[in-house]
This record gives sequence, C-alpha cells and structure tokens, in this order.
Amino acid sequence: MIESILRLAIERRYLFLSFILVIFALGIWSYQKLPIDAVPDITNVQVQINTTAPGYSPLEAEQRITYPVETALAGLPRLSHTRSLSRYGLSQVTVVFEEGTDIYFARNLINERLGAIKSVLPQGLEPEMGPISTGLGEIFMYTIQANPDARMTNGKPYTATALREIQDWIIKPQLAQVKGVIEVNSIGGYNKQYHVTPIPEKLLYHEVSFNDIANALRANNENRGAGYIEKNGQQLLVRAPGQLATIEEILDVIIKQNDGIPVKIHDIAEVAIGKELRTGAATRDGVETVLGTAMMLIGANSRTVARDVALKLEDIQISLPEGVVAEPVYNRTTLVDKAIATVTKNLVEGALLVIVVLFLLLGNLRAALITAAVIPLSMLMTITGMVKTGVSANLMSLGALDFGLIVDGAVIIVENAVRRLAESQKQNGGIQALRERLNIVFEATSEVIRPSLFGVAIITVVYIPIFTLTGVEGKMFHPMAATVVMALISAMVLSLTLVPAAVAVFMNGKISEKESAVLSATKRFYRPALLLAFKFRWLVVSFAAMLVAFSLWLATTLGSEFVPQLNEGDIALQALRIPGTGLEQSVEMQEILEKRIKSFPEVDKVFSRIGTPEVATDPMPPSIADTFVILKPRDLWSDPSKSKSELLEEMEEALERIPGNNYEFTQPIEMRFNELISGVRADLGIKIFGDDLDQLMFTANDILQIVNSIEGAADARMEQVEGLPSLSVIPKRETLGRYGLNVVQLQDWIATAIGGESAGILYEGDRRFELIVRLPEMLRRDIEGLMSLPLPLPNGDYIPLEEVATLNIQPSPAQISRENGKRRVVVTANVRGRDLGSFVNDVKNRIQQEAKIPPGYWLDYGGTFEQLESASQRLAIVVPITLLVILGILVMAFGSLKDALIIFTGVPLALTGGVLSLWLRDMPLSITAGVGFIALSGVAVLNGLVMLAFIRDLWHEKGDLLTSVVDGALIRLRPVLMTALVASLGFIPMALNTGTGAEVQRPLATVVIGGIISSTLLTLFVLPVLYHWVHRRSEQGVEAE
Amino acid sequence: MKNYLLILSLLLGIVSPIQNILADEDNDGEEHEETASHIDDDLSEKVGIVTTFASPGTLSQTITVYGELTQAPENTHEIYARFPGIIKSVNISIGDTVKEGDRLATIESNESLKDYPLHAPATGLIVQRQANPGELTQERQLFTIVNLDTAWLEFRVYPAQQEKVNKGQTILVVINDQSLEALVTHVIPAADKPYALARVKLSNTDLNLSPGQFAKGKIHTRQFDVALTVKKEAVQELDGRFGVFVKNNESYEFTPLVLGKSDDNFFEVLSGLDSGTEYVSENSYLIKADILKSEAEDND
Repeated sequence: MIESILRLAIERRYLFLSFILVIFALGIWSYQKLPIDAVPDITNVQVQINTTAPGYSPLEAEQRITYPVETALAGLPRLSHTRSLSRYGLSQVTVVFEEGTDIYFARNLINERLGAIKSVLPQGLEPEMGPISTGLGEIFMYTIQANPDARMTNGKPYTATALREIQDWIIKPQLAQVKGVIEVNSIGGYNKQYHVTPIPEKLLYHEVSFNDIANALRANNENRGAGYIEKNGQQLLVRAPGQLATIEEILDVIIKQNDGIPVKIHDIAEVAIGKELRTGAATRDGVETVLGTAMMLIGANSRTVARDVALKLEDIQISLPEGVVAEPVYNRTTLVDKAIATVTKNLVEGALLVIVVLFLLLGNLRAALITAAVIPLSMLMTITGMVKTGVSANLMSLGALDFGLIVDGAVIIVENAVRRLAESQKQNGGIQALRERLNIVFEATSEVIRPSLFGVAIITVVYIPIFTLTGVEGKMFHPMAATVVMALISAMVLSLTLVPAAVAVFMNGKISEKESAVLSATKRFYRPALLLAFKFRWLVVSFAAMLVAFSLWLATTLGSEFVPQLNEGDIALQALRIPGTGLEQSVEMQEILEKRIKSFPEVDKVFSRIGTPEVATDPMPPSIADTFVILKPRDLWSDPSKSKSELLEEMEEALERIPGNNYEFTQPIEMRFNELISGVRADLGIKIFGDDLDQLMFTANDILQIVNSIEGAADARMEQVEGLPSLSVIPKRETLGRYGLNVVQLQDWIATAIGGESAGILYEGDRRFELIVRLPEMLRRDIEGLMSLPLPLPNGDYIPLEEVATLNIQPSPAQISRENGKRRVVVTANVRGRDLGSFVNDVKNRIQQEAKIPPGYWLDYGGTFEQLESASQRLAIVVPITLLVILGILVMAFGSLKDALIIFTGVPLALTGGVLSLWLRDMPLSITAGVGFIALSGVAVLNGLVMLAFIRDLWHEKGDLLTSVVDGALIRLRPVLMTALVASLGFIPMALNTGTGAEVQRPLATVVIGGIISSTLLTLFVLPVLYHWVHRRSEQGVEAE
Repeated sequence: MKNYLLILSLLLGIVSPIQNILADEDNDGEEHEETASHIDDDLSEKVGIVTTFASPGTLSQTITVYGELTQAPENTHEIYARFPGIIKSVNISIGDTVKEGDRLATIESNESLKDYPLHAPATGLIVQRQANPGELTQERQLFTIVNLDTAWLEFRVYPAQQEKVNKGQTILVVINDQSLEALVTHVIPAADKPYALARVKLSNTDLNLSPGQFAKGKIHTRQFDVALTVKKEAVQELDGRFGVFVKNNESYEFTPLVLGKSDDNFFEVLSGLDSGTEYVSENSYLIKADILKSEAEDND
C-alpha cells in the first residue's frame, strides 16, 4: 500500500504539489481561530456558588446557607465532589464535575436545584453562581485613582468611596460589554451608603427605638404610581413621588409625635455618607485604591479579549470625571505576546539552523529547501489539527515541537534520493531521462520509507504514556503530546506524498552532491575508529554498560520537580498575617509592604487585593493579601543581567525584615490555578469528617501527634480552624424575661447597633445606595462602653445591656470547611527520606491502632501520594507496554527479535547523554525533561533502525558480516549525522533562550541535545559492534552449513 | 540467550528515571516556637511602633449611667390658700420671678370676711397659676413656684453597678451637649423599680436646664494609686497568656504579666514587669503578628 501511494505521488506529482495550496489555505484559516494563551488551562470543571450573607458568622453561614445548598446539590449527574467554606459573611460551595462535563449543562443543573431551595434559605439571601471562567480568566486588572489636586463636585478631594462609585457605575457597565468578558469584579474603596447614626441618650429621651427609625425611613421613601386619568382627551399619568434624595430630606423624616411635637431624624441622629462593613480592600504603591478585574469567558482567546478590554478602558477614560484615572496594571496580552514571541523565535531559529545543516551536509540547495519545506507545511497542518481537537496554542503545546525531529523522515528520504540520483548520474555520466529519474526517486524512497515510517511510528508510540497522565499533569501535558504527535503524523504524511513528489519535480538537472570537507574528514576518522572498536568490543560494550549504570545513578542525584515553572515575568506574592487580623490593620501592613517593594528599582507597579472581592471568586480572609508586583522591562533595570530568582531573593530578604507578614512567592496565573484547584498539596492528607468542630480538632490533634511520631514525617500540620476571636453577647434569659424582653429583641438590637440595619435604598438616577441605621462608629468600637448602652424596653423604659447579657471574647472558627456535605479538618504531612507507600501504610496502621475516633467520625486518606501512586501504577503498566509495542514494531520491521533488541539498546544509551547534559546544566528531572527523554528514545530508535536496516541488506547482498557492517555504517554515517544534527540543532535556540516561557522548554531541549550527541556516538560505534557480536555466531552457523 | 540478558538489563533502566520524575519534593522551612521578634529601629519607626516606659500610675474606674433632670422637691412650692375664700386680686402671672415674701395674691377669707395676703414662701419662678380674681379658692392649688437655681439629676443605677456607687463620688455629667463635673449627693432606692437613683445636685443658675432633660453620667467609682501600670492597648494575648512586648535593643520579647485592676486606659501590673521597662504601647499587634506569622497560612 505504501508503495502504491508512493507511486501515485510520483506519477501525479503536480496534483500532489497543488495540495500545498490547500494546506496553506486551511492552515491560515485555522490560525485565525486558534485560541492562544501562555499556558494550558489546568482548571477542572467547577462551578462556585457564592452566597453573600452580611453579618453572618462562619457558624451561622454554614448552618443556614452552606448546608442547605450542599444538600440540594447531592446526587447531581456527573458530579465529582463538592467542597465548601463558610466565612464571615460568605458561604462558598464549589461543585466539581467530572472531566469533560459541559459547563453550561452543569450550571443549568445547579440553577435548577438552587431554585428549589430558595424557600429554605434565610430571606433576602441569594446564592449566585460564580463567573463562567477558569484559572486563566483574570486577564486584565486596572486601578482607579484621582490626581491629588482633583476635586469632587463638593470641592473636596476624592475619597475611596467616590472612586468605588465611579468604578461601579461608570467603568464596570462599559467594560462588561466587551466581547469575551464575563465579569468585572471590584475590590477596594467602600460601597457608598447613607448612614443614620442615632445617639442612644437622645433615643431614650424621645422614646424612639431603632425599629421606629427604620420603619419611619421605609415609610417615607417610596414612589407610587397611581394609574392615569383622562382629561379633555389627554392622558395624564398619576404618581405620588416620595423618594428621599438628599441627606437634608432624610434628616427631616418624622419618626413619631411626642405630645404633639414631631420627633425628626435630626433630633436623634446624624446622617452622613458612611463606610460599608467591607470584606476586602485594594492598595497600589502603598496607597488605598480601587481595583477592577476583567474576567474572561471560558474558552475565549485571552490575548484578544485582554487587548479589547485595554482599548475599551482607554475609551472609557474620556467619560471619567476630570482628574480621575483608570490605569491598566496587569494585561495578559503582554505575557501571551512574550510567550508567543519566545516560541516563534525558537521555531524560526530552529528551522533556519535545520536548513543550514541540511544544505551543508547534502551539499544541494534544492534538496535542502525541499526538506525544509516540510517545516511550515507540517506546522500549518498541526495548527489545523489543533483547532479541530480544541488544543490551544501555548508554551506547553508548542514547546515540544522540534523541527529537526519533524523533518527526520524527510531528511532520510531526500538524502537517499539525492545519493541515488547522484550515483546514477556518475555511472551514466549525464542527466537521466524523466522516466528513469522518476524510477530512481521511487526506488530510493521506497528503500528508506519503511524504516523512516517505522521510526516516526515509534516516536509517536513513545508519546502514549503521556496520554495516560490524569489530573493537572494530564491537562498540562496532553496538549504537548497531542501537538507533537499531530506534527509528526503531518510530517509522516508529507514525507510519504509531497516530499517524493517534490523530489521528482525539482531534482532535475545536474545533481550536485558534494561531500563536504567536514563529512569526508569524519569518514576518514570513522573507519579506523570503528575497526578499533571491533577489536576492543568487550571494552566498548562494557564501557557503554558502565556509562548507562553511571548515568542512572546520576539521575537519582538530580533533584526533581514536577513541572518547571513558567516565568510569567511578574511576581505574585501572598502576604499572610495571623488569622483574626482586621482589614484596616491588614491594609496598614500592606501599605508598608508595598512601599518597600516599590523602592526596588526593578519594580514598575505593585498592587494588592486584600480579603474578598465583591464577587467572591477568591474568598480570602482579611488577613491575606494577594500582592502583584509588575516588573519593569529588563532593559530598564540597572543590572539587566540580574536573574529573576536573584531579585526574588533580594525581595524576600528585604520583606522578611518587615514585621508581621509571612510570604508565599508565586506568579499571577500560578496563584490563580492554586486557588481554584486547591486540593491537598502535601504528600499525604488525612481528612477527618464529623459533626462537632471541637471533637474534630481533638481527633485531628491526636492524629497529628501520631503522624509526627512516625519516621519520615516532615512538615506535619493541622489545618487551622480556630483563630478568629469572636465577641459573643450572651443573653441572660431569666433577667430578660423579668424585663419583658425576648432573646430576639436583644439580638435585633445588637445586630442593628453594631452591624446596622438596612432601611431602604436611595436612588440617584441609575445608581442606588443603601440606607443603613446603626450606632455611631465611636460607640460601636468601644467594647466596654457597649456594656452600659441603654437597651429600650417595650414599656418605653430602658436598661443597660450588662443587666441582661454578658460579653465574652473567645476564639472561634475563622472558617468552616466541608467536603462532600460533611465538616472536615485536614492533617497534612510530607515525607522525607523514605518511600511514600510504606509511610502511608505505617500511618494507616498506627492510626487504626492508636487514634480514638468516636462513632460518627471517619477518615479519608488523600494527597499527592494518591496521584503519585496512581500515576506510578499506570506508568508501571503503560511504559512496559509501550516498550513492548515498540519492540513489536521493530520485530515487524526486521522479522528478528535479536535485531529489534539491538536497536533497542540505543534507548538507554541515548538517555545517558540526556542525564549528563541535565547534570551539566544543573537542571532537575521534571516531566518536561521526561518528555525530552521520550522524544530521545524515538530518535535513538530511528537512528538504529536506519543503520541496521542498511547493514542487514548489505549483509544479505554480500554475505560477509564484518565488511557489511563497516560499509553499511559508513554509508549511513551521513543520514545518521544529519538526523542527529538537525534534531539537536533545531533545539539549540530553545535550550539557550532566556525569554518568557523559555524555562518550560529548556529542560526538554537540553535533554534532547545531550541525548542525541550520546546516542549518535553510540549508534555509530556500539550498535555495529553489538550487531557484529550478536550475529557472529549465526554467521559461523551459516558458514558451517 | 546470554546476549539478551545484557540487552534487557540495559532496557530496564528506562522505567526508573520516569518514576523518579514523578517524585515531587517540596521543602518547607522548619518551625519553632518563638516569643520574641527582631525589628530594626529604623523599620519599627516606619511601621508605627511606639514604646513607652512602665510607670506607677493612678487608675480611675468609671461606670456609665443615664438619668434625667428632675425638679427638686425642696425647690418646688405648691401654694394653697390658708383660709378658703374669694380671690380678690392676683399680682403675678406665669413666668414671673418672685422673691421670698412677695405678695402673690389677696384673698378674702370666708370666715372672717377679711382680706389677707398670700406671700411667696421662697424665691423662684411662677410656673403654674390656677387662680384668677373672683374665683373661689376651694381646696385647690393656686400657684406653683419652682426654684431652678439648683436642679437634681437622678441617674439610674442598676443592680450590676449598685455596689460600686456611693455618695460623694465625682461624676462627669453630659447634658445638652455640655459636660460638667459634680458630686453624687446620695444614692436612694427608687420605689417599685429595679434600680437605685444616684442623685446629683446641680447649680442651674447658668445652665438653664429644664426638668425632664436627659443626661449621661460617668461616675468615678474608684481610684487607686498602683505601683505599676501598662497601657491597655499594649496588652496582647499570646498562647492564652496576656502580656506586653518588652523592648531590648532591637528585639521585642513577649513578657506575660499578672494583671490586676484596670480603668479605661491602663492595667495594673501585679507582677512580671519592672518599673521603667520599655514596652510597646502602640501597634503592639504588629509584633504579635510577627511572632505568630509562621502560623499564617492560606487554607482555602
């Protein structure tokens, strides 16, 4: 079949060449639709359900919101698991679905269930689903600031409240319209509120209660429509306006009459624009600000959306009041452009290097160009394939592409055709006739097509283990493997069709096949060296074996990391403060921190999110701040050669001196992924499920001690649950009763006094602001004073609060975590110096024997050990199977197990070079390096395959083993060198690049380059020696016959 | 067959490096309990840490009470006619100020049919007049004279506070947005009410307060001279113990204290601290946060 395709390609060569146009057209069209991002999206299919519950403590939020929501969601189709957290004022349930579930289907299901439980939830609370976005969603951020001399309409400088108003009512509605933006999230400043703050003694004097005020405000703040009347044929609408508009109007509202004298709001309270009890704040360069974040719809093209948002923001600037500036601080386009530039640079430079090598070694420009033409064509075909399979273009997916590897098949074919054409020209002393030429091309191609097809097939098969990775690793590396496989298959198809057709068309005329000086010198050196190797074959083989053993040992000394981190160029650092730290305190600490960071000359901007934004996409307590540090372009640094890790070190050292903060350095996208995926990140996580928080803590403590006592346990810790001190106002029921009060009256009074009660809405055009009744700030904050505040009695009298209630400050849960509908506390531990499996078994045994777990409580073991275990188990099956498949292919190709195994020895030999080069460059083992090893095995097998196929054919022709081996090796020297050189040179730009994203690709390129050098040397020496050695006896057998 | 063994042993090497790659390590720093924090002086100034020296002081405890202004019974005079009769003339009207002995009205006695004068028993303000010429006095009240030069504030003292309040204590009164200092004249139980009344006599000549007005009072219940005090905002809780951060060069050490009495601003130190020790009086939370910062983590 292969031959008939080949024949067809050569016969119908012009038709086949015209397919180039189709490939081009299709490729370019697909490129327009290709989603481009910096990194692959590793978020799982999840929906967040947020319920904002102002004033609710964690316990109440859990009991009254989280529990019903979770219960309602149980049993959804394709549900993987749910987890939830309940914090002050917020309940967040995260629903994770199985991979591949349609997000809109999932949201529909949830919506339906949420509708059914509305009546169960406390009145006025609405669970809302988070934006349809992913970890890559935060593509654009901007701050809103006022120039110092800018003035509001009332002549005062802009306040944080005013800036927030501009964000909410001018900027946000406009940005939300940009295509691909699903949500514009705000944090910082204060939601504008009108506060009515009554003074307690005046309330007593006028015998007015909080309730009276709220009711009076509600009853005096309504517009009513009253139908219409017709008068003289004219229709008149009737309305009775009564909405309050200004502070003066609020002050004039009459609450009641005492002896005919009206009591107005202004008699008992002050009214002013006040600050909401906010859950989050934002700072920039050490000053409070308002921060907006545009979030991208799932699956949109982050580069275009971020760019569109930036353009829109420029438009919006015109509509802002004078002196107010909305300035972009983070724009994903920058990163994506940089990453794409890195990839493009690598690919273009690699391609150029490949062309140069081809030209130098083939000595024929046309042949070199034909081979090189495979590069763009296979690229375009790959892009088409990526769009069809929904793989996005990013550092990972494009990172493993090596054009050297891709053109290997074509190189072998073109080289052989050129050699054969040149040989025949030499023999016939002139240019061949067309038919003859076509014949030679056909023969030359079919001679090597089988080994090269087998080679490509093997490289493809080698990638199979990557497809068995699941979870985050799977999401990270599937696109990479898919892209490489697609590129390889494209190249394979091309070398089967277009390459022979092009050779047939263009390689007319005199074929110049000059053996370059380098090559002939190499050949002159190679023959004696090879003969020497035959002489000392034991030495050669044992040296190779030792080398393998040595590099295996070396591999264990290299450190390891899972995935090398993409350098996003910017820094994200989480500043963590002790739980219970208040928002204002946190803001103050953050301002100091930012000023210090800003003083680094390399830093362009620094801004932070503290606590939870309006839409709780990332519910942090006020004690935690996400700080984004945007660096200046490298050429503006005083020392452009300073590495980012050096800068990080300096920064860490400087920040370490600032008291009260703990830091986690990461990067914006990375941080977001961590927040969203947020599983247990330690080696072992023991989850304790149960009802009573105290009991859970107690059991967790027990388990923590057991884990700590087990050998190999490191960083064992318990999830923090406590930490938020709470002030409880505990009613004295008996005394309350004596004064004729219910508990609920006391609670209402406290809720209004401290938390505030909403008494309606004030409209300013479209803008709407809440009207709140609560105590003046001075009195709210004074805990001791609280005790003597007068509490009104139903009979108009009053008593001080301390008569009927006691105050109690004690630690309480800062957050309550649940998983799959049950409260849980997690104990985590890492393992040092012993293997994970036995450690986990030990832990399980010891816990079973020693821990007292009360009935109704149960444990669950999780953590990365699970993934590691399952990945190792899978790989332990898949890798041998893959090897067997490769072996099978080789056996198919040669019909001999011996030969197949000989070729196979190329693999470990190739690995030695990879390990050595990693060691030389001081790089750890990682999955990307692993991918390099995989590609390497393919190349090594390909080399051996081509070499051995030739030697065997020669042996069959000539009958003498030794000469056939030597001659075969010499003839194949050029293609082996060529494939090796193009494959390694193609990766050189990638190995040396320092641009954005290069660090992901560097290990891969390093491994391939090192490995190919070793594998080539070994293919050239060890393989012939091994072949000769193994077949010596059978040759003797042949001779004996 | 021997040949295969060599080759196979080379091949086996492939699986192990891949498994190695999957072993992800992460190195966390070690944790140890600390009760001190080091902050450079230039930095501590920048972050707003203020220190002060522990010193003897006076604690002054107060309680807050509410009450209202009442007319003093001794300053209120209800005027009746001594002998019933016909009112001949009335010399004053509401709002007039009268002196002791001023003639208020003239009444013709029913028995003697003689006119007799009705004199003001005290100096004060006429606030009520129910008498006009020609009317019979009957047994009714004719005038009310009130002297507002002194007024009584009656503050309610609820059971929880009662034992702290005694007569003679000073009280800071806030009434009508004015504040003034006075003394608790006496404490009396209120009839049929759960509270007692702390009565405060006020001179009202300049204040012009009227009865019924609401007042807030802060009674200085007790005063102590104590050997050592620390500022209240300096005290933080660490691992269930209360204490302050003592500055020693550039290091701040948590020092647990045994605390005694307190007032609005200060704690009495019973033991744990020497007089003259420099401790953090403002922004002490920062130092607590610094000491505990290893506990800070993000667990969502």
